[in-house]
Amino acid sequence: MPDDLALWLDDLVDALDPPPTHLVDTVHALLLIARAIRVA
Amino acid sequence: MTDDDPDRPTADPVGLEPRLDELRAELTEAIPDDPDADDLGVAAIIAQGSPTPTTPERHAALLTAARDGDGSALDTLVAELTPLVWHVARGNGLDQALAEDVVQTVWLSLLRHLDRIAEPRALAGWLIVTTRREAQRAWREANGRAALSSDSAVDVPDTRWLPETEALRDDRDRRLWRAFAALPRRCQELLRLTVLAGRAEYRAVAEALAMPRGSIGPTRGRCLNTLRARLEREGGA
Amino acid sequence: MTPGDSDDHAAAFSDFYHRERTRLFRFAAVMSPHLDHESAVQEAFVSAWRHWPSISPPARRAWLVKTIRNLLVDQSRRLERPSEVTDEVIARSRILVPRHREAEAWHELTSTLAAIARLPDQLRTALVLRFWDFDDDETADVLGCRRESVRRYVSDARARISEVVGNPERRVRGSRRGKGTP
Repeated sequence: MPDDLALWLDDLVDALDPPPTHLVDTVHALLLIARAIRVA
Repeated sequence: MTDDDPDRPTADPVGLEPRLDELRAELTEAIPDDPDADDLGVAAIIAQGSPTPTTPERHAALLTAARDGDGSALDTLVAELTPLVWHVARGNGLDQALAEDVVQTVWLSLLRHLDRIAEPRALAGWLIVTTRREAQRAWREANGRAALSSDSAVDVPDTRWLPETEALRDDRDRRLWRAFAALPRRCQELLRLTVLAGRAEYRAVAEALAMPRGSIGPTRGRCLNTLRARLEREGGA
Repeated sequence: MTPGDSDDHAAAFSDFYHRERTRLFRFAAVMSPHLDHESAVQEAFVSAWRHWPSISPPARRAWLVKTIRNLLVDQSRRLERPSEVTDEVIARSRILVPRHREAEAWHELTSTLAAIARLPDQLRTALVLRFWDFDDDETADVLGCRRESVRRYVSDARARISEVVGNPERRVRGSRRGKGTP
């Protein structure tokens, strides 16, 4: 059933293979450094 | 290269032609012709070139603020759109570690290009296009050969593809995952993105995928059919 | 533009993109291996879509080539530290996948690519378009010159490349110039 697969794909995106929880923080830190370098 | 210049000074005194032929062969391999249609690629380009008043004001406003030096606006964009970047990277055949690298590269690239995104409302399209490019580059460097994005992922060892094993709760999850990972990459990418596109906060993605009208829907249908067929072949969906 | 028109345009654009993208990516890669040539091509396609109804169909590809070329020129102007396009700079661009091959062959390929990248803009564009089998009329359109000039540019470009690659004695003194020097 398409619905069944669609549910699983929802699951894939949210639960099975979401971005690692630390990733956003890592990027925030990276951008902070990059901006500091640019300003300097 | 043709050899029809009457005014060429000499007939290839240092063997330039073979050298150029070799170079051409190398580059042809490095930048291969991908015979498959790339509906998502076209859609993302069209989205960037089509300013429509319905695209989310929110991202445009955040992007404008980020341009003016507002770091927290940029952070908000990162927090809201990292899942989009992530799923494009994963959909293009990268394992989790490489996908993390690519996500970081893409956001740094946005910082560099802040002033040059012609249409702030089309940020989602820009992110999709940039992430695919970086993902394909990363794949090429990791695998030492060209990444045809339509390649099947079956030649990639299963384990590199699996999400954290504890996330796969049961046998059905594992069977579905295996079938999914064996789909052509373009299908994996498209299916991940169409899930995001169905959500209110990713309306920008939905709009990026809406053009050319009607082409994404049938492609998604074909990808789902392939997935279903694989599952049935493996024994009972 | 009615929605129907828009769909027709989108379909034509989509066909065009699928047909031409590979050759344009290859063109940009040889023009400027050391720059972000892929993003120049993507930007050019976005720009082409934005101007799509006003670009006459037979001139579409030349329009893309001109736009890519302009974007690459912009990129090189924006470089924070513009430096000479040396063989090392080209090797670092990693456009050629280094595989198990002889160091000498690898070096030759890289220095040929670098020699092309160092050519003056007109000569380089003419040579690279010929390299990827664009015909001379289209190249003349891109360069805004006559067909005969295209042939002269190509042969001049070849002569200059011959001076720096493939000839070990000359490679050392690679800066020697001179049109028509055999």
